[in-house]
Amino acid sequence: MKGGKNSTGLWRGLTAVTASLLAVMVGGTTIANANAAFINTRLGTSNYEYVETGSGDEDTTYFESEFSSLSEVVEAKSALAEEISEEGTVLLKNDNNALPLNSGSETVTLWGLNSHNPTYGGMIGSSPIANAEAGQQQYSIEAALAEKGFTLNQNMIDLYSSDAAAAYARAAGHSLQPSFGPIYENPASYAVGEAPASIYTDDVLSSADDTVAVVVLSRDSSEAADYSVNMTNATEGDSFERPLALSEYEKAMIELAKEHSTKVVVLLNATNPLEIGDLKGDDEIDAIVWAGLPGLNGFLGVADVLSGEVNPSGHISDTYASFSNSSPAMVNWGVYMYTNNSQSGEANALTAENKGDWYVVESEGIYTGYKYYETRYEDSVLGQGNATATDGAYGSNTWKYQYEVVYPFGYGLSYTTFDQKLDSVTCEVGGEGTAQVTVTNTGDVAGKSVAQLYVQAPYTEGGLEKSAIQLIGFAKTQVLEPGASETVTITFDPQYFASYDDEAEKADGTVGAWVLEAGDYYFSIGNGAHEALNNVIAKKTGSESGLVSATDNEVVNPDNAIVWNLAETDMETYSENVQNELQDCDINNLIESKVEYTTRSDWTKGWTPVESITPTEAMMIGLTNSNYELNENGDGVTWGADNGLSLLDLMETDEEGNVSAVDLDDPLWDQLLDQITLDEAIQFIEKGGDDVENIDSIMLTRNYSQDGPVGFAFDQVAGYFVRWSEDMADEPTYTAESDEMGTYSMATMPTEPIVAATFNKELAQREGELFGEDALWANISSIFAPGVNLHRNPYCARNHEYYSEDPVLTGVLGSAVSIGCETKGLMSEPKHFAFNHQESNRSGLSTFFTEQGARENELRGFQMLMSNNYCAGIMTGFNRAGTVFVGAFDNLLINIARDEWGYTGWYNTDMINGADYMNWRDVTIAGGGNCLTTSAYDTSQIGTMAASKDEIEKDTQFQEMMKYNIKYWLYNLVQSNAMNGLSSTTEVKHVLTWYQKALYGADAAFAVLTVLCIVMGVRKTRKNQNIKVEEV
Amino acid sequence: MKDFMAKKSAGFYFTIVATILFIVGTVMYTSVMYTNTVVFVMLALAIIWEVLVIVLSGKFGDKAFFNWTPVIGAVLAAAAAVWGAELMVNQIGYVIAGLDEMGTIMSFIYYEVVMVVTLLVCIICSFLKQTKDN
Repeated sequence: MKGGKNSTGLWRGLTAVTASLLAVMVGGTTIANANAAFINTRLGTSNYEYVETGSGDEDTTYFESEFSSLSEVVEAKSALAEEISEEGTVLLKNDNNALPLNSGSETVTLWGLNSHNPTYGGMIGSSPIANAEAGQQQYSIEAALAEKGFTLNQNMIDLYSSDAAAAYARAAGHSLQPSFGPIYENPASYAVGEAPASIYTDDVLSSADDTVAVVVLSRDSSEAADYSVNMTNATEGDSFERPLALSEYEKAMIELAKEHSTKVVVLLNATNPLEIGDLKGDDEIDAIVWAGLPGLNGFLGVADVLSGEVNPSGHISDTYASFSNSSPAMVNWGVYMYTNNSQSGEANALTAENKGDWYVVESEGIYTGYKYYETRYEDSVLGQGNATATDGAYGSNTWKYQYEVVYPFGYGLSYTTFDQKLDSVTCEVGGEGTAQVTVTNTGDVAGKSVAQLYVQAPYTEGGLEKSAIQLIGFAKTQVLEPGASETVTITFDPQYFASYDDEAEKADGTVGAWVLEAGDYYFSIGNGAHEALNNVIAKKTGSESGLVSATDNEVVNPDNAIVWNLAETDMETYSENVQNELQDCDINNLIESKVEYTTRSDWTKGWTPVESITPTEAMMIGLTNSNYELNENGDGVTWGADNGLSLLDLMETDEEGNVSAVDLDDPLWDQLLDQITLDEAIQFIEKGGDDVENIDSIMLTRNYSQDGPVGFAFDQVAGYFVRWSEDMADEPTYTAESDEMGTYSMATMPTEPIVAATFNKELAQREGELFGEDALWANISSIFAPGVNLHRNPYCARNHEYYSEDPVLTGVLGSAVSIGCETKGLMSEPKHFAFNHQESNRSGLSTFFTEQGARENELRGFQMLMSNNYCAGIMTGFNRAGTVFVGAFDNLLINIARDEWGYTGWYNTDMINGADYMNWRDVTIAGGGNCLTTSAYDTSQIGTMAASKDEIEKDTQFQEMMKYNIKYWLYNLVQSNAMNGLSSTTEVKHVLTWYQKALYGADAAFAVLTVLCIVMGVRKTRKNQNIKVEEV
Repeated sequence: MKDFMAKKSAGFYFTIVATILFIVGTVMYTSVMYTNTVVFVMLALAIIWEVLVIVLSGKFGDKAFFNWTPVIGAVLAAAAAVWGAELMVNQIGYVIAGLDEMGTIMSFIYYEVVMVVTLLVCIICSFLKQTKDN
C-alpha cells in the first residue's frame, strides 16, 4: 500500500510538472505568435505563401537588378565606397608638396593609438560592420595602406598592439556613451583614447626617424550621444580644454612625430570638426587630410589619395572654427529642463510619461555654421552691425575672422591647381537659374575640380535677416588632364535663396511669405564660401581693402562675381499656399522676450543662454500630450467592401516598363481603400515598424523597412538572406543563407559627411542605386535614409548621419541618393523630419526656433526632396517642434509638406520611445502615418490601437485620417519593389512556420501528458481509497 | 494550533513556503518596468489559493483530493512567470542590443528567479502529502 500511495504522489508531482510546462508553453506560444513578425525576420520564415493561380506568364519583375549575382553587387559596392572616399577625402594643407607620398620609397609610421584603433562609422547608427566570419573584409588604416603598397613601420604597430597601449585604447574605436533614456546632466566625459608619450620607447622612436609620420586624430560618433563643452577627458592622465580640442596626449604624440620623422601628415578621422588651428599654423606639420568615418573600404580611398593614385577633390561640408564652441548655435546647447520637470517636485510637475522635461532654444536664427562666420565677416569688413565687438569673439579681444575660422565651408585643395571662371549666370524668378563655369587645370597633375556657386541677396541693415553668402548649386568636372578645360553648367532654383519673412502680408491677406527683395544679387564662385564672399565684397565695393583670406591659397577675384538685379520685390512667386505655420515654435511668441536672437543688425546680441523656462498653460497642453481624444462623430466609414481590386490594379507601366501609379485623385484609390478592413488598417498603422504589415484584402504583401544611411544595418538584418523565405526561391534575386556572401553585412558605405565632401551628385545617385540593388537582393523595400537634418553645431555626435551644415548641399545630395534608390524600386525614407539637432533627450525635447531659421535652414533640404517627391516616405523625428511632437504636428506634416510643397509620400514615426508621447491617436489624426513599433503601446497608458477599436469605429474623422495616411503608403508601395513577384492572379495563403508548428505540437503534447498524469493520479488515488476501505 | 500543526506533513510546509514566495514575487513584480494586470491577477489568485489551502487543511487535509491543491499553485506560478515576460520582451531586446542599460531589467530578472523558485517549490509540494493521515 505504501508503494501505491507513493505512486499517487508521483503522478501528482508529474501532473504538476506537465501542467506547469503546459502553462509555460501556452504562454510562450502566445508571446511567440504576438512577435511572429520579428521572429520571422530573424529566422527567415514567413506566415504567408504566395500562390500563382493563373498561367504564370505575366512578367512580375517590375524592378530588376543590373547584376547577375550577389557577388557582383558586393563588388560594385566595395568599389563605389572606395571611390566615394577617394573623392570625399579633403586635402586641407599641403606645404612643400609633402603629399602625395611615394609608396615605393617612403616608409610610413602611423602615429597615434587611434591609428591602430580608428573609427569607421557610428557606434550606433551608420555602423559599418563586416561579417568577418563569412570572409567579409574591413580595411583599417594599416590594412588599407599596406594594400596600396605602402611599407609601414611595424615597430609602432606592435607598440600600439601591446598591453602598455591597451589600457588607453577606445573599445573598437568608440568611447561615447549613448543613452536612449532621459538624461538630466550633460555628458560628463569622453575618452580620447590616446596614449601618453611615456609608452614610446627609444627603440620605437628611433625606428620612426627616417619615415613619414601619418598622425591620426580620431573622434567617434553615435546615435543617442552628444559631446558637451565641459566634458573631461576620461583617458587616464589625459586632459583637454574641450572634447573637440586636441588633448595633451595628442599634442605630446604630435611633438614626438615631428621630432622623429621626415615629414608629418595629420589624418583627421572624425566627423565633428576638430580644433586644428595650431596644426594649420605649425610649419612642422606638412599636410592635413580629412578622412572622416569612411566605413569598411573607405580607408582604401584615403590611401589612394595619400599615394597620389587619386588626386584629392573633396571639400569640407562644415566650417572648421578655431574654437569649436564659438558659434551662436553653441549658446544654447545641451540639457535644459523646464522648471516643472518631472524631477522638480513642483505641484504641477510634468511626469516621466509626458517626456516633456527638456527644451532647447535655437537662438541663432538663420546664422548656423558658415552663415554666421561669413556674415559677421562681411559686416566686420563693411563696418556694420557691431561685427567686431568682443561679444562672441574667441580668438582675440575683438572679433576677427582670421582668428575665428581655420578652414571655411567648402574649402579643399588638390595636387594640382585649377583656374575657375564664372562665365555667365542667368536667373528667372519662378523658373530656373543656370551658371556656366569654365574650369582649367593649370597644374601638372590630372584631377577633378568642384565649381561651387554662391549667392548674396541684398541686405538692408536692420531689415530682414540675410546670410552674406549661401551655396545655391555646384558641379564637378570629369578628370581634367593638365592644361585641359571643361565648362560645367550649374542649375539652381531661385526659391532656394529666397528669404522667409514671417511678417510679410501677401495680397490674399495671409501672413508669411518667401521674399526676394529688390536689389542686386551677387553670384560668385570660389574654393569655399569665404573665397566666394571675398569676390562678392571686392565686386561690390570695388576694393580689396579689409579683406582677409582664411588660407594662403585663396585668391580674390571680383570678376568671378556676377551681378543680377531684381527690379521689384517679389513675395508671391514662391508663396502659393504659404503662410506662417511655425510661429508657436518661437519661444518669444509663447513667453514674451524670453530669448534674444542673434541678429545681423547687432552682433553683440544673442549670446545669453535660455537657462530657465516655466511653461505657460498653453505650453502644458502640448507638453502633457493632451491632444486628440477619440469621440463619436460622423456617419461612419466604409471598411471591408468587396470591390474586386488589388493594389496591383493601381500600378501603371509605360512602354519602357517604367512603373508609376494611378493618379492620387483617381476614385479608384477610394474604392481600394474601402476594401481594407478596420482590423487590417489598425494593424498596418500601429505595427508600422521594420515590417510593413500585409493587407490581405488588397493583396499587399508584407514587406520590410530597414536602417540606414550607410546601407542596411547589420545588427537589424544580418545578411542578404534574412528577409527571404524558401517559398520565394524562384525570384531572380533570391538569396539563401548558404549563398556565397549571403550573410555579408550591407552596412558598408562611408558616412554621409564623406559623401557630402565629394560634392558629386552622380556618386551620390550611384550610392542610392546600389542601396536599391541591396534591396532587391535582400528583399527589402524601404531604407531609412538619407539623413538630412543639418549639422547645427559641431557637438552633436550624430552628425555622421547627416551631410552638412548647409541645406542646399544636403538637399541636392539627399535628392540624388533618393533618386538612385527609387530607380531600383527601393523607397527612400529620409530622416528625421524635423529639427532633430541633438541626441540628448531627443525623445520629447522641445525645440524652439524662428520660422525664418527653420524654413531657410533645416527645412530647405527636406523641401528639395519632398517637394519633388524624390523620396517615397519620410521618417519623423523624436523631438517636438515647440511643444508639439513632430510626428503629430499637422502644421508641418500637412500644411507645409503637403499643401505647400505638394509632398505625396508617406510618413512613419521613429521607434516608439515614450508610447504616450508618440501615441497613435495624435500621430494618426495629424497625418503622421504609421507608428514604428511592435509592442510599445502594450505598456502605454493610452493602450493599443487594437484595444480601442470600438471607440475608433465611432469616430469618423479619425477613421478618415487612417485612410488618408494609408493612401500615401499604398500610392508609393505600388511603385516599389514590394510588388515584384505579384501578378493579377497571385493569391496569399496563410501558413504556420516550423517553429509555430513546434510550439503548437508541444502545447498538444503537454496537454496530453497532463491529462494522462491526472488520469493516472486519480486512478491511483481511487485505488488507494478502495484498498483503505477494504482494509477497514 | 498544536493539533493543527501536529498532523501536517512536509507538503504543508512547502505550501507555506510557496505562499510566502508568491507574496514576495508579487511585491517584486510591482518594481518591474512594464507590468501586466493579468499577472497581478494570477499572483493574487495564487496567494488566495495558497492561503485557502493552509486554512482549509484543517478541515479537508485528510482528504485525498487535498494533496492535489499544489498543482494549481504550480500552474499559476508558471503562468505568472511566462506572462510576466510578455511585456518585457522588447526591453530585453534593447538591453541585449546595447541600446539600454541592464539595470532596467534587473527587477524583472529577480522576479523571474523568485517565480521559478516558487514553481519548483510547488512542484515538490505536489509530490508530497499535505497531512500525515492522508
